Amino acid sequence: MKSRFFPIVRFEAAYQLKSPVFLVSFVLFFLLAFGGITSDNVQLGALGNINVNSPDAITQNILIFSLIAMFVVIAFVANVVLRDVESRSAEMFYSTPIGKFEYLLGRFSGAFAVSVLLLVAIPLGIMIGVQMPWLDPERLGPFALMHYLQPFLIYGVVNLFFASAIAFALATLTRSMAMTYVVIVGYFLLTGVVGAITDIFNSAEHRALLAMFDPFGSAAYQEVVRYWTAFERNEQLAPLTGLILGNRLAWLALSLGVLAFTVKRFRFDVQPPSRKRKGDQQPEESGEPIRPAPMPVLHPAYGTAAKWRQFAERVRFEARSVLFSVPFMVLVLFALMVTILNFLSLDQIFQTAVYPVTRLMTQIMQGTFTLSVLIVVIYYSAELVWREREARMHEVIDSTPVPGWVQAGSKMVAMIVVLVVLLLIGVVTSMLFQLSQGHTDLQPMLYVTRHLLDYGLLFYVMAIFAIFVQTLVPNKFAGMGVIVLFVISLFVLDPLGLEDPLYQIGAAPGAAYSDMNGWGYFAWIQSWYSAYWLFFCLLLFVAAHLLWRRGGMDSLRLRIRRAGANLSPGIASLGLVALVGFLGVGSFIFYNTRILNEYVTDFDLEMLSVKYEQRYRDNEELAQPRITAIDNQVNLYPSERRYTLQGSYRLENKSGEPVPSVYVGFNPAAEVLAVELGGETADEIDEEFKVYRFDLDRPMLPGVEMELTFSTRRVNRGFKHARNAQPALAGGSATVIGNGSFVYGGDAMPYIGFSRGQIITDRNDRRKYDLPPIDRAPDLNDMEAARNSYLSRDSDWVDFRTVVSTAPDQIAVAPGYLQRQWEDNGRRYFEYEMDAPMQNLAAWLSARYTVKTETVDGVELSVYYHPAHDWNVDHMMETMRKSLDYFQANFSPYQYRQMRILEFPAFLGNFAQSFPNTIQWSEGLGFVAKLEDPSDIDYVFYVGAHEMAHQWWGHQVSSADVQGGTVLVETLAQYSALMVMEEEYGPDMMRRFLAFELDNYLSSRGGESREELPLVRVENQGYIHYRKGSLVMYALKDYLGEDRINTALANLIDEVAYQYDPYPRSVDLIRHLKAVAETGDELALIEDLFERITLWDLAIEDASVTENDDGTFTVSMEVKAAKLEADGLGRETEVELNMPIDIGVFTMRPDDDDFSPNAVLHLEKHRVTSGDSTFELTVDQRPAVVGIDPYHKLIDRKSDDNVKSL
Amino acid sequence: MLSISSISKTYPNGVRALDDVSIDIPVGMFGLLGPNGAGKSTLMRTVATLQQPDTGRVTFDGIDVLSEPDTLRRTLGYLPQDFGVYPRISAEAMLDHLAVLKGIVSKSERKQLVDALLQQVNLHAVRKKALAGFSGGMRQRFGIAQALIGNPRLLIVDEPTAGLDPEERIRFHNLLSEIGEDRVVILSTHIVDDVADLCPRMAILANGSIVREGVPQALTAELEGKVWRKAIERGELEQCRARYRVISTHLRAGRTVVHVASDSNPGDGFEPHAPNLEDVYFASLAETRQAPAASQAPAASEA
Repeated sequence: MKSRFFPIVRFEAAYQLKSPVFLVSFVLFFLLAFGGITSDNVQLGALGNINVNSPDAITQNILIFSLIAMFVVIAFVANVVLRDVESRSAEMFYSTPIGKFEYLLGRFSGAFAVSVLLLVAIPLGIMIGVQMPWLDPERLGPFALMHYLQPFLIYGVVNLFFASAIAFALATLTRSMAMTYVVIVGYFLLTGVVGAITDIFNSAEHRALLAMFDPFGSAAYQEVVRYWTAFERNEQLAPLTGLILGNRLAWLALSLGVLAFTVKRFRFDVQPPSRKRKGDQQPEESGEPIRPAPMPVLHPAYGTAAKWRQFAERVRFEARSVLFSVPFMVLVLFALMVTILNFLSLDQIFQTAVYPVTRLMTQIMQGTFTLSVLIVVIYYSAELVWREREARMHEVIDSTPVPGWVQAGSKMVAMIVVLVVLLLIGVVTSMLFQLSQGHTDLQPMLYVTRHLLDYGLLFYVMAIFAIFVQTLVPNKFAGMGVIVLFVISLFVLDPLGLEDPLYQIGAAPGAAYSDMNGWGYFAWIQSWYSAYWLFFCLLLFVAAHLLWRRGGMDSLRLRIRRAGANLSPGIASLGLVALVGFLGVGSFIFYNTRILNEYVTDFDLEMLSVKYEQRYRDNEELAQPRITAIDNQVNLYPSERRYTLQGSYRLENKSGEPVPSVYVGFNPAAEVLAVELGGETADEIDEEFKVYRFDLDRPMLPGVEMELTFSTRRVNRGFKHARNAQPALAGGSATVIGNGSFVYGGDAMPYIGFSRGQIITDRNDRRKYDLPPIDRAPDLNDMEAARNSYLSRDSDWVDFRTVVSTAPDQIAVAPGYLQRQWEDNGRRYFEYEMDAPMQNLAAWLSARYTVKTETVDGVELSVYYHPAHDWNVDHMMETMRKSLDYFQANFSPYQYRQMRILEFPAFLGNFAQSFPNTIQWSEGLGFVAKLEDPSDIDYVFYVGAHEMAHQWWGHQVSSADVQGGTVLVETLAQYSALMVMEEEYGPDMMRRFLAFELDNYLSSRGGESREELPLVRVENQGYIHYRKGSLVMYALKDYLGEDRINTALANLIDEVAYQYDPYPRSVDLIRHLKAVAETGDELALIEDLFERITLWDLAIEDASVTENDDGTFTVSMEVKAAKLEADGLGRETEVELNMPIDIGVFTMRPDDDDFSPNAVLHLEKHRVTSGDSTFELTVDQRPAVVGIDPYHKLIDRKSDDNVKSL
Repeated sequence: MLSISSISKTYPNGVRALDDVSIDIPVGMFGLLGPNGAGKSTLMRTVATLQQPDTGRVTFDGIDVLSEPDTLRRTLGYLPQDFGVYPRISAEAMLDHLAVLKGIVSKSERKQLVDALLQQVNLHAVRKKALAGFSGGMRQRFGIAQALIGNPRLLIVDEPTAGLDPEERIRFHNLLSEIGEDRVVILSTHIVDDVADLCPRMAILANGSIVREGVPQALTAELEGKVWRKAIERGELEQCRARYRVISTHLRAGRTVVHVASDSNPGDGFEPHAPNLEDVYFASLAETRQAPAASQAPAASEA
């Protein structure tokens, strides 16, 4: 028996290996893995400190590609069964004396073996990739075969086996490739829904549950390594135990079951007649052809009208052939599935819903449709061009009197029709979704402009290009290969510095839509590029017509030689128009991007930074005067996208030593009209970096003041090849726009000395350019550095006054109090002045705002918002009010008499930030939040309270430019926001919020790019100063009490508010916290939380309950506890634990939705020490749940074992 | 009507598919007979405007086919040798689509035309069925139907009966003969009976050249009294080939029957054979094979 099995396996494997599908996918997989490893720009699973060949990165690659491989595996495996049916040789095989077992399993094994061979491309690609000489050696770990082998076997082989078994079963049972694909997609739909549901209940238990449902083991793996640090990810493989083992075994067993079932169900017979396809039913032959009905008199037409009629018929015919084909429907289903899931989980942060405004819906669809659209373009352009030939219909079609332009053109237009239909399906789905959510402002025009035009452009051009390419190449796989290369080039050209959209087919500089600004000027830019590509497509069309393959397989050279014969006057003039249009529009674009504007690539910008650093880094240590007062006038011209600024600084030499030369620098992109120091012009001007050196006649002595005056402007002439929609600080030109201008002081006004913001800080990039290593922040105890603020080196607290003018229908706002406003010469003027020193943080915003204002306790609170975004304005007012109340009552009085929230366009960023008495708040964050579900985290309130708190932490207490600098600013703003939130929403909501913070902190540690530092030494690391900061402060509040913490903070403010030279440091906070500590435990806790990276590992090992005679219950629990100290890479050492920790007894789990204080039978801190210990507690009611640190106040990487049900 | 003069075609791989082919084809069925690889399809595709010859000229009813292919296409019906169909398309929909491409833009005319064609080829009952499910004979009849769209005056049918069973072939022949009355129909085939049954005129193409041309009966008559046959043992064949001009051999009741060409009775047990078209065909092929190096034009004139 066996002797027949293996020949069948071998035959099958050999057959599949020879198929182009195998070869093409193998090469593609290899290139993708190789490219992912060797390029800086695409990297899977290897961020920050994680090596590109770490076990984690290899596993992530294998997981992803074994999933992608599924679509190829289906082709292999389903082909095993369907090949004989489709080629009508089933009878031949089924009638041979092969046993069912040998036939089926033999072929299955052959196809499965080929699938495994295909996936070998991935480890192979990585292994060869890491040998490439240009890789950064610091990101490579040592080679270990096991790091490849283990994930390949555990995930790769098992996943392929699952995919093969499922495909095999489906193909055998349905006998149809199309049905097989449809069922597979249905399956994905199902897991997607499970995923979305689990996403909503994102807790460790739910994630573990989902992990079991994921047949590819990805969720299980991600869950296991979720909190792994860089050290662990580089050194360890996820062991085949627990969740991973369970998942793998379950799916392996299921796959075997499916396989067995399939073999059992399989019958060696061809389908009974009733199951045959419709067309197979042959009519009774009557013998002779019947006498024909007389042929009608025909009036064939060959004129132009007829040609157009034929064109339309051809388009309809071609488009139908795609639209009603099964793969297309599968792709549509796939896109819709992903889209709807994304709609359902439409949230931005903390899983809080947002209003389904069309801007967001189209944004989501840009992500969810791209894959399907790309596949449609690549696959169907080949299908359309080659389908006549493949159906052997080409000679019939080609001998009809239809000109080449009808043939080529109809296929091009049909592709466009198909793409538009595909996108429209998305639009309709999206609109239905909006309506189902009660959102009736559908903005159909925005769908047209954003989804069909802006998003579609690239794909339309790509489709035409693909058809053109298919016309040239000798077979369709070559054509598809060219298109795939083209798609890859989309990702590769920019990083190579080839940025100009003029030679990136289908590219445009990128337009930005904002509800506030609409399309604004970008519509104009996009129109030019659209016209450019339209003419390009016309040229391709003309070329495709001239070179159309008619009849035979004439070589391209032959067709080029004969092309002239196809050149009719009509085609010639069209070609001429297209050429003139293409060159004309191209020249206009070139004029804009290369002549009106300087052509600057990302690479150029990097080189500029390198050069700046090399030229001026020495100035960083140079004694320079500081800015003490700012007075200026800014004129914004929104419709002209320009501004002018005239201003002056008062400079004072605070350095304590004489200053012989003063360096004044501007943003290199600014136009500097004039700059004078003390009435003198500069002695040396560096035009490239806009640095002006003033050599003083007599050195500026300590304490001496001078006046610097400057006049600058920014004029956006025409458009640039890129970054038109980016804010000025990102090197872009979207500063002054039609509605929603946002001009930063740092962009418009000069700096003194050296600008650290202009240098490259990424460690890998610095190595690339041979720049010396640079610290993220000076040492905590560097008192010389502590003389600088964390914000800037050229100013401390400043006086500020500004006059800003804008269009007459807009309101312009800047820090300070409005002194007066007036109109003059058709422009609107506002004068703002701050009556107390403030941080040097200025920004001018101008828009057609609606304003909501109220005055509370002498403080005027306002929200300046886009009138369509009125949903949460009242809530923002309330947030400001409540924050103000809490902070004034507990910290110190508010230093200003006014607070304003200002909305700005989402494309300038999705953030909120606090400037002196102003908060700039993106329209993409909170203005469209849908705060209806009371269990959602109210992040509008959170963001508002956080930014309000910055008026204290940042604008009263500044911070030194040393390690730990952001603790005083961000950590304390987090704490303050938490306290306001807790007062508003209660401790349950806080627990939910902190669960996010804990998860975020623990999962971000693995992505750290250098080393994790203790809070007191944090180097502007967001996951530490925000996320860990929240946890630390909340834990400390729990141990010390809110009152004592607030007392310490009030004392801190009292001591260091407005202090500079030196600026306050994180140690000042710790000093005040320690001052309110009352016990050694508390002092030790403060040190654990702030001065070390401390982790707790707390677990209930076992628990039991006995009912006592008096009706009470005694609970006995065995606790296992440990305290760990981690180093910067996450290597842990156990240290002694000896501290009070919450021990709780409950009637239900604390994470239960119905949990309330009534469920708490006991919750007190008990002393816990390292190792095992036993606690006995007596409670009045029958307990159901016990826990140690049940509310997860301490940082514990494994928090699901803190609580145990009895 | 159709005049082909001095057509030559050499493929990039060096194969000389057509070598100075000239032929005049009048109205009616014209049989183009030749073995596989003789250049029939190349010639058919050239006439059907699907391929350009290296040299030569093709005219049809005053149309210069090579320089105005579109004009010819208006009056051309073509059933290619290698002919398939799109998946998931019914006979009716496909005919309708092709009718548009042939210039029948009036919807009502098209409807009548498609109906009539389907009747004519006896596919009306299955007009809604997918073409992909058709049997070989049905598919060829559909092929004729599509070729007849627009009542073409030039109909080219390339190897239409290959793969058809005898019954289907007869039906197909009936259909063809009915159509071939008032137009030029070129039937390209390697099956002698197809031509014998249907074509008043014919030509034999071998190695890219026309080796015989004329009325089948006349060509047969030319061989009258020149073909002899004999039943021999298998082992005698080589000897026989060496001694006589063997034009064909076939098996009958287990013995080998050889036909030889000879102006006079070769004796040796040979008996006279009343020649048929098959003998004409094989004799022509035998000549080209025996004198591959010699000029082939004399071989044709010798016949």
